[in-house]
Formats: sequence, structure tokens, C-alpha cells
Amino acid sequence: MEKPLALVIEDHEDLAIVFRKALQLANFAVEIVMDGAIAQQRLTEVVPVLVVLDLHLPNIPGETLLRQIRSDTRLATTRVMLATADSALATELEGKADVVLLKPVSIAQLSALAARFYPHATKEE
Amino acid sequence: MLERIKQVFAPPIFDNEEKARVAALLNTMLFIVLALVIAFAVIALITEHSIARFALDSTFALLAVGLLLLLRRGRVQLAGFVLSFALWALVTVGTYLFGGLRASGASSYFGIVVIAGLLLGGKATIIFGALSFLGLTWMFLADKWGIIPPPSAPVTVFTLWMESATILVGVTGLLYLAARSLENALARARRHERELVQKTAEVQQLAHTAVETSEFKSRLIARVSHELRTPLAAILGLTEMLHYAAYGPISEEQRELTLKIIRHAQHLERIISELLEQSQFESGIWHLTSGPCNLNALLSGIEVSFAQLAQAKGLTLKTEMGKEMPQTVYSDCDKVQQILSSLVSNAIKFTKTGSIKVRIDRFDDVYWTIKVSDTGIGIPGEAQTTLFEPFRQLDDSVTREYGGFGLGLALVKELASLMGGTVALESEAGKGSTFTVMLPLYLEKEKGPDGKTAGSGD
Repeated sequence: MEKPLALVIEDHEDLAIVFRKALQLANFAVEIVMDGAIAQQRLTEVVPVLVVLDLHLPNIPGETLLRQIRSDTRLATTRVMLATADSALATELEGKADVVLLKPVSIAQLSALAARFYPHATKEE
Repeated sequence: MLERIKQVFAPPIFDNEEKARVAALLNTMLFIVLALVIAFAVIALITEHSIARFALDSTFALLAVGLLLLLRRGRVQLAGFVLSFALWALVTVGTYLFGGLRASGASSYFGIVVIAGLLLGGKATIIFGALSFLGLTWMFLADKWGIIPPPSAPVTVFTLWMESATILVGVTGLLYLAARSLENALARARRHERELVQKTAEVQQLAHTAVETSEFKSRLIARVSHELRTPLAAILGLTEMLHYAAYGPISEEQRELTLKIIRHAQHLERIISELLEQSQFESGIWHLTSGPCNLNALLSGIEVSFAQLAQAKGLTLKTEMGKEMPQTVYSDCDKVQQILSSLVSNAIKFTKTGSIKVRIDRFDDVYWTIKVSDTGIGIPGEAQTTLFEPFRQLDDSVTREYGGFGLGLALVKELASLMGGTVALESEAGKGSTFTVMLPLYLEKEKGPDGKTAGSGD
């Protein structure tokens, strides 16, 4: 069976690698996008189960992408995890995403949270 | 030599400006009086050969010297009163003895009223005016009844001229002093007013700058904390990947080392959070929310969160609820939890052996309390008052040994006061500490402290 897709939208390369590893540990197929505009395009092409979204992104901010995901019926089941270093924005956007994480995020934490959104696990909730 | 003489004549100096002014005036007057009575005495001796009058004037000269000494001991008011009264008595007795209203002595009353007014203020002017009026009236009646003793020596025109001229000079001098004293007082008042206006402007400017600086500081801290978190996230994440052997197996030693890096990174993160919270509080962007708060759940949460940390140090962590305490209160649960976490984390940090006890209890119908007790290093009395200020720890060695920024307790205090509560501390160095947070007890939603904004910096 094909692994569910997690889209990591994060412009910091090392963090993107960390996120990818954490999501791979939770058995996701991971795709990394490091630019807001490219991410916007990509979101019209794929239906990820999970999006890990940074807020400060080049070209298009994460907030705009979050609104786009939420208004797109095609992505109605997509879960969004915000991962940001901006604590003010994190507080502001609490409730708009499925999870808001304040960086630094531990791998164990991210992996455990991602596992909760794994398609097989949804029945448990 | 000249300096010595100057010193003798110089008025005493006092911190109180008004007292110094009166003292300077009284000093000048006493020297003038001294000069005048000596002059009177000499004139009396030469022109009238009157030993009685010479003795009277000399006594008065001695009194003036005594008052000069009294003045130098700081008894300005008393010296002023004694001088005024003595002058009044001298004029009254002198005039009575030497011809009453038919001599020129009575006009000296003017001088006394002026002196009393200058030295003792408005009320004294009226009192000495009235006394002088009584003196004049007594002279008039005594003259009418013929009981005024006959002058011991004939009053010559020269004596009259001399006495009138002396009184004229004296009163002129006194009025001059009075006018100058008033001018000085007025100038002083104007100067103070100018200074006050200037100071007010300075204070306003300072307040403005302080607000600007504080806002800038908050923005800077928010920005810096954001910039620090990103690389910190990478350090933590990459190290964790190594630690969890995501890139292949690692040795036990490597696992320990990577764990140390992770712990340090987590510590750094806590410091950044504390800093940011403090600056957010200062800029007044904390808000209170109110909702049902399950205290049992809160306590279990604390036990779970800190069990490992306490165990690692061999400490026992106990939590308990008082029987009277309702399970659920309406409060800002996040802030209560923050207070609890901060106090428990502190208690663990500063306790080497023994136990940490957390107890939630009802205080009365209006308040409930959170008590966190430890068997730690304790806090000496003098440090207990400054402990709740930001960036305060007992001393630098504490910072070195226990780490942290010293922001935790300042936050606890501010959180508590934001919620309408207080924090108290009982502690003895070496025996341990108990922090008691007292919070308003709300059992229904309507009465909860909903939607209030954080205070603006008070």
C-alpha cells in the first residue's frame, strides 16, 4: 500500500530535514517545499494527509497558505500542523490549524503527533 | 583676622530655606539692635548722665548677645519671639520711666511691630500690634491719672532729635530689610516655579522615553527570540536524530553526549520563553480568560510533568487537594498551570534532598490557595523582598549553580496579581521555603474575571 503523503513547507533546510525524518518515522511519504509560491502551486496538485507549515516563508506567507488549505474543499481532510518560531503568531493562529507547535519542536513530539493523523489511526479518535 | 570677624557676624546656615532666611534676618536685626542699644546707652550716659538708663540699655545689649547665641543653636523662632517681646518690654518700661507720651520713646512701637512681623509672621504682627496699642493706651491713662514718674533728667531738644533720628534710621532699616526679604521670597518662589515647570517637562520627557524604550525592548526581545528559536530548533532536531539513531546505531557514550546537547538546548529554550513572557507581560498583551478549571487534572498534570525531574534528583513530589476545595473553579487554567509549573520547577531546582509538596486548598469563601513547599536551600530574610523582581536571584553563585534567568518568580507574582491574587513566601535559609499563591475563588462563570486585559505596566 502507498504511504500517505505529508507535505513539509519549511524554508530552513536543516529543519526541513529534521521534519522529514520525524514524519518518515511515523511512516509518511514526505515531500519538502521550501518556498511559499511553489507550495501554493503544489497544494493544487496533491492531496496531502498532513501539512507541516512554517509561517515565515519566502514569497507567500504560511498564513495565506493556511487560509488556502482551509478554503479548498479538495483539501477538506488535510490536517495542518503549524511549526513556527514566532510565539505571537503561534498564539494568534491557535485554533485555526489542527496543531500549533512553537519551535524548537522535538522529533519525538512531532513524530507522535503526526502518528495521530495517520489514516489508520483516525478510527481510534 | 578679617575672616574671623566675618565668621562672627555671618548668620547660621540651615537646610530649611525659610528657616535660613529668618535666621539671616534675625542675625542682622540682632546686630543692629546691639549697635542701637549701645548707641542709646552711650547717648544716655553722655547727655543725661543717667546710670539707670545705661544699665537698662546694657542689660538689653547682653540679651541681644544671648539671642545671637541662641540663634546659632538653631532656636530661630524662640530667639525671634524673645527679641520682639524684650523690645516691646523695653519700649514700654523705658517710655513709662522717661516721660511717657511726652517723650519720643513711644514711636519705637512701630519698629517692634515690623520686627515681629518679619521674624514671626502675620499672626505675630497682630499680637505685637495689639500689645503696643495696650502700651500706648496705658501711657495715655497713666499720664491722665498723673502717675507717670517725672523724667529723671530734662528732655532736651537734642535728645529728642537724637532719639527720633535713631528710630527713623532703625525703622527705615527694618522696612528695607522687610522689603528685601519679601522680594527675595518672591524671587525664590518664581525660581521654584520655573524649576517645577522645567522638571515637569523633564519628567514627561523621561516617561515618554521610558515607554518608547520599553516598547522597543519588547519588540526587540520578540524579534531576537524568533531569531534564536530557528537555529535552536535545528540544533535540537538534528541532535535528536542522532540520539534516536535515525542515521544508524550509536554507542552508549554518544547517546549520553547527544542527550546532554538536547538538555542544554531545552534549557536555552526555556530561557527564551521566560524572557518573551516577561516582555509580553510588560507590554500588556496578556489577556485573562475564564473557564472551568479542573484542579485535580491540573495537579495530576503537574505530577506527570515533573515526576521524572524530581526522581532524577531523588526527591519526592506530592500533590494534594484540601477537602473543602471544590474540584472545579472558574479561572484562567493556563495561567494557574503556569504558576504551578514555575513554582514546582523552582522548588525542584533549589532542593537537593527531601520533598516537594503541592497543596491546593480553600482559604475562605472568597479565596483559594496554592501552596508549594520544599525542603530546599531556603531564602534569607533580606532577599525575600527582592526575590519577586525580574532578573533577581539570590546572588550570582545561584545563577551559576542552578541556572535560569531569575524571571520565574517575577512572572508568578505578575500572573497572580493579574488574576487578582497575591504571592507570599515563608522561608528560612537552609530549612526550605513555602510559596503561597492566593487567588480569588469563582464557582460560577458570571463572576469569573473574564476578558480583562493585563495592566499597563503598574
